[in-house]
Amino acid sequence: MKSMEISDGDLVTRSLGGRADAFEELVRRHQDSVYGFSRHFCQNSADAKDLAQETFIRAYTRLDTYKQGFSFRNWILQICSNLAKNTYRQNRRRESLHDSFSAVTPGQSEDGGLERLELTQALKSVPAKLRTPLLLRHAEGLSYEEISSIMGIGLSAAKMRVKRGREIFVNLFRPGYGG
Amino acid sequence: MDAMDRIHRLIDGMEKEPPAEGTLEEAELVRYEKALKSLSTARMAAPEGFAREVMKRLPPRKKRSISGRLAALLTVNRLIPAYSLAGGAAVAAALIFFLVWPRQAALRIADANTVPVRFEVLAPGAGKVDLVGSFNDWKVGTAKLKGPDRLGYWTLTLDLPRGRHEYIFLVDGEKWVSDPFAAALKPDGFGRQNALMDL
Repeated sequence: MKSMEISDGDLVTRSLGGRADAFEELVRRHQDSVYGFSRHFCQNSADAKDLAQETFIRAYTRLDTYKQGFSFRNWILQICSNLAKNTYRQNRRRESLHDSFSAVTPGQSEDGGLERLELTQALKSVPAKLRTPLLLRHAEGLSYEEISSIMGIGLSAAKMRVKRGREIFVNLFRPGYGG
Repeated sequence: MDAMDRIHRLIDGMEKEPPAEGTLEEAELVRYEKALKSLSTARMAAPEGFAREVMKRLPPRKKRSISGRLAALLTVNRLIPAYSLAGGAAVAAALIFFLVWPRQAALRIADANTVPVRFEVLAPGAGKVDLVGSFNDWKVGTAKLKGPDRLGYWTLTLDLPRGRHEYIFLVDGEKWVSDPFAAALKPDGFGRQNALMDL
């Protein structure tokens, strides 16, 4: 007998049929991707956890819109990306990123030390519309076709945004802090 | 193509010829690669207990139909997510779950003395699967599962009387497979573990 792993698509079907543990399996499979992706958008791990959880909850409530055959990982990263963007918009008025970061000294960085803080700062300085494709490409390792699909933009736009995002990020990132 | 375009193409693997050693182009490429690598290495795993917390926060599904709610009254829903476990025949064989088939439950709700129970075994490579238990006097061949389906599942629905039952699966007539996710297991005295099920 061979071991056989049920596909994400089948888990979605089972979840829609009322099998909560099928959805839990989907969460387990993709939690690291979603949390890791969320972490790039948030200042601390608590916010990242919140965003990642919201992402799965949103996915659960819209599971019937998932198209079989489409990568579940890409689909949920798309949800995460949209949520991050919306949350950022909502918080923009009351949250000053610069103020927030000025309150955090390198020694207080909770889960990645000095390098993490510098990385986060550099990333935050990359405009959101360039940051997302940059992360999808270099943190998630997605192809330009996948980025194009997730973001709903053309292939050449995806390439251009990654390129511009790279240039901004690389010029801001200070590897002297450990990178 | 300018120098920066070439660097982007090198990063994307679209350009194969590396820059000459000691050139500014090489230094720039190294700088880019080092910074971009930090994006992938900085990834972090989700915190412990993340999935459980998500599951607790999930909103309830939309209200079911009347027949669905009636069916739910009798539903024993125990999907065993063992398919996430690593390979191995024993693990594959352990991919077992059973549940009341909602449609049948709705049709048979009038019969208060029996409960329809659906047994499923994920055994894609098996030639046959038998269910043996206290409800069929442990006789092999009297409760054969049908399958495998497209996903490799073998299934059988039985109307079982209320009360406690013991059962175990026999795959290909030689491999005894107990349900590791049963509420309780009971040694059968022959080195196997029977699953206990209360209806």
